[in-house]
Amino acid sequence: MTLGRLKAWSIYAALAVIALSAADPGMARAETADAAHGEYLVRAAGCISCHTQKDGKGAFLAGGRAIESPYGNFYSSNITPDPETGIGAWSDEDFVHALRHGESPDGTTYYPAFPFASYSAMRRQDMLDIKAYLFTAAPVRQENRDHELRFPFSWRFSIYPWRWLFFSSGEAEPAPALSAVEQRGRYLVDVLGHCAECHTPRNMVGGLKRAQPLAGTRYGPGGTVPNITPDTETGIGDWSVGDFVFFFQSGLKPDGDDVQGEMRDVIEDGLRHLSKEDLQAIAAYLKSVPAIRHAVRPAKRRAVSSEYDEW
Amino acid sequence: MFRLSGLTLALLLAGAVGITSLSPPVAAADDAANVIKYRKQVMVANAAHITNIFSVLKGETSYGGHIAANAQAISNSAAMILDSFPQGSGSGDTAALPSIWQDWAKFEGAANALKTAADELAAAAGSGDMAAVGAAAGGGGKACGGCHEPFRKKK
Repeated sequence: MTLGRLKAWSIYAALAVIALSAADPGMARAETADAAHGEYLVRAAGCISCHTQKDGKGAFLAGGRAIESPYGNFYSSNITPDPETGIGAWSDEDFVHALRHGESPDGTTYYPAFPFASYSAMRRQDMLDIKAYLFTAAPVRQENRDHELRFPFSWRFSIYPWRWLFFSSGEAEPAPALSAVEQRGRYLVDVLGHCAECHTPRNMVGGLKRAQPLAGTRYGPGGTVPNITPDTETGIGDWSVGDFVFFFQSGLKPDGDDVQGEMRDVIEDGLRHLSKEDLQAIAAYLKSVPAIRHAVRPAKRRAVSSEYDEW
Repeated sequence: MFRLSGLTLALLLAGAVGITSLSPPVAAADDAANVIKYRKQVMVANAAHITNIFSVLKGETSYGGHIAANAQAISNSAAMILDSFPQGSGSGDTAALPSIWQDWAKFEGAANALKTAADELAAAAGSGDMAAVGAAAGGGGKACGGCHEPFRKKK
């Protein structure tokens, strides 16, 4: 096949995809959503641990939790169905747009601390199920707290270069080389669980370093985030599937130590509620990704942008 | 029953080593570096008991009959943990935070919570109900964090 023919063929394929999506019967008739499935997805997507304050200090899903980063502190938003301070007035399309494109209903772009770069690839039905569950939560009247960011990140327009360089929206391409279990794991890790958002180091403008996926960073939220690639020396290549499942259920690592920091809450509010099959799928996928040698050492003190030495 | 007997035992142990409920043991004559080495080995031993319990729960080995003994050893370590953090052992090759001695009551509470969780695990193992054992083991993981989260330097 010549290059020209290949190109023509891919255009036909793209047209076919557009035609198919336009004909998607789900779009035409009224959509239904499954709040019970949504609750499961909310656990898998880690919504609770960012959108609820630590140690029971704030109301469920009402936001206000600080997410520390070298760019400053982000404060999560109220995602309870309160119509004024939460998302109670949002339509299905507003919600899907926020997750798919990272923009609020009034068109304001979100900071990528909200992991829409990962959620963008979520299936539409899953987004609607999540919304259905969130709307069953108790509405809480709580104004969102402004982020406390360093210049130039404090300037919201600074997100646009990031969006142009690092963000592409839309559901994920299938990865035919992976088994069905690994595909499920990939969806749980890359899309719902958005593991890369914390476990992949970032460059100086906040883009994920594509050469080091999941290789860990010392500048994650709250500090050091480990390398979770299958490298046997600097990663977790020696973990068995059973080790992963046990870790996700109990918070205890194969060496008998327990996990701390943000991951503790990710497990407590999220992962430990998932089915054993899904936890095994996460393990299968994490064992299939490239092993990257990258030793993560803790930073001596809280990083400020001028000391950020990973870029 | 178990909770009650665990509490009684903890009180007896506390009484036996002469600690009051709200203050850490006074500095022993031992060199702080040796005390730090000692208590690290208490933790290493606990990690070994935990990984062997997990080995059974993961299906890697079939020593279900050992779970209760391993859990009992972890339960016994609670008193050793409290003993081996005397005043003046906060500096050197240690990840212990000064808050241990500033908020001893909380530290002691967390150590006792470890004891309770380990006692529950031992009781579950004695009953032979593996689902209960699995649930109790998860609770045990949380108990570790009861001290590590507030009182240990982040790795």
